[in-house]
Amino acid sequence: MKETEFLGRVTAIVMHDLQNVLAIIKEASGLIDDLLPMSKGLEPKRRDQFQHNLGHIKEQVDRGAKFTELLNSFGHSMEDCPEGADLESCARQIAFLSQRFARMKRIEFLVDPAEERQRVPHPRFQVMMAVFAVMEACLQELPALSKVHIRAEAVNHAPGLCFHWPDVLHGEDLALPIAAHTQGQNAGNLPPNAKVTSGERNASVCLSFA
Amino acid sequence: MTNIANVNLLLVDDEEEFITTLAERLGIRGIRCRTAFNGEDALKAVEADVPQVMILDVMMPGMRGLEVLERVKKSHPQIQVILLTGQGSTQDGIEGMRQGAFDYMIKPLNLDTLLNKISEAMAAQGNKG
Repeated sequence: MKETEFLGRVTAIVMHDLQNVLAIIKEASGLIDDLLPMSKGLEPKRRDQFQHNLGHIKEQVDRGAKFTELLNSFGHSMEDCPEGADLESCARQIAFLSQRFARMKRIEFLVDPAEERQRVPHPRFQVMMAVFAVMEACLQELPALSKVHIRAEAVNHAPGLCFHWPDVLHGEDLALPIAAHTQGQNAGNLPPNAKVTSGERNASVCLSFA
Repeated sequence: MTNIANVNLLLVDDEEEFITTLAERLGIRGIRCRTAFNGEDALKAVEADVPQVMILDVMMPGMRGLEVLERVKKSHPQIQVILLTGQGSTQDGIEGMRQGAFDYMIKPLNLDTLLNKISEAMAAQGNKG
């Protein structure tokens, strides 16, 4: 078993346990919600407080479920996938999982729907690692409050992902520095035959897989 | 929608807190159900009183859910089985449906969706006579 497979399997096992934890919290809070209307002696204000906080628990369980779903899929991303990796789905997954990094820099990554599905013959974790490398470069170079749109599209007839920040003042000047973060000694973060170049649109870079 | 108040329901999961709380919530809705915390006890519960619908976790220690499913469908094909899976084991859910499970659901559950599925499972059982 390879190291990546080992990490993936352990992650998937732990995620299963976490889903059970969330399932128990959801049912227990649901039970309290069921019982509240039967509690005759409870002041209306207190009842509202309970219900308000039960709402928070439900929201957080749903949030946790989304994280476990994507982290579980991430855990399985080390496994070979015969049909290859779907670029949009990889971008969506890693953008969601690493949203805290982006929030710390007050930058938002938005994955726009692709017009055409783009697939590459690489394991998904390699694609996600490459997307993450470009996201990190964006976080280093772009100013706070930037919004980066990511879209899967063909780049010079090769499958790729474009990262576009249309609302950043003088954003066109940042494409080369962002691409530079993934070159030279940092090129190892990209899978073989992948590269990051300035995009055709202003204020963008493209990650392409030849 | 089929009335599920009188369903003979068996819940099977090794996560005791989960399954007992779920049973309590179903009880509040007028649905009485039995619980089993492992595959072996589930099979005994089936023999003691054949349920119409069984909610069965696929990832249990000891006898796994799919093995329980296989045995139950062999001895009592009329029982409708709804499998519970995690996100990482949806393949088990799909495999279970190939083996005759009525459907599968992913944890954490949405109770309304579960109630709908139980109703559909009962309707399907009625159609099978």
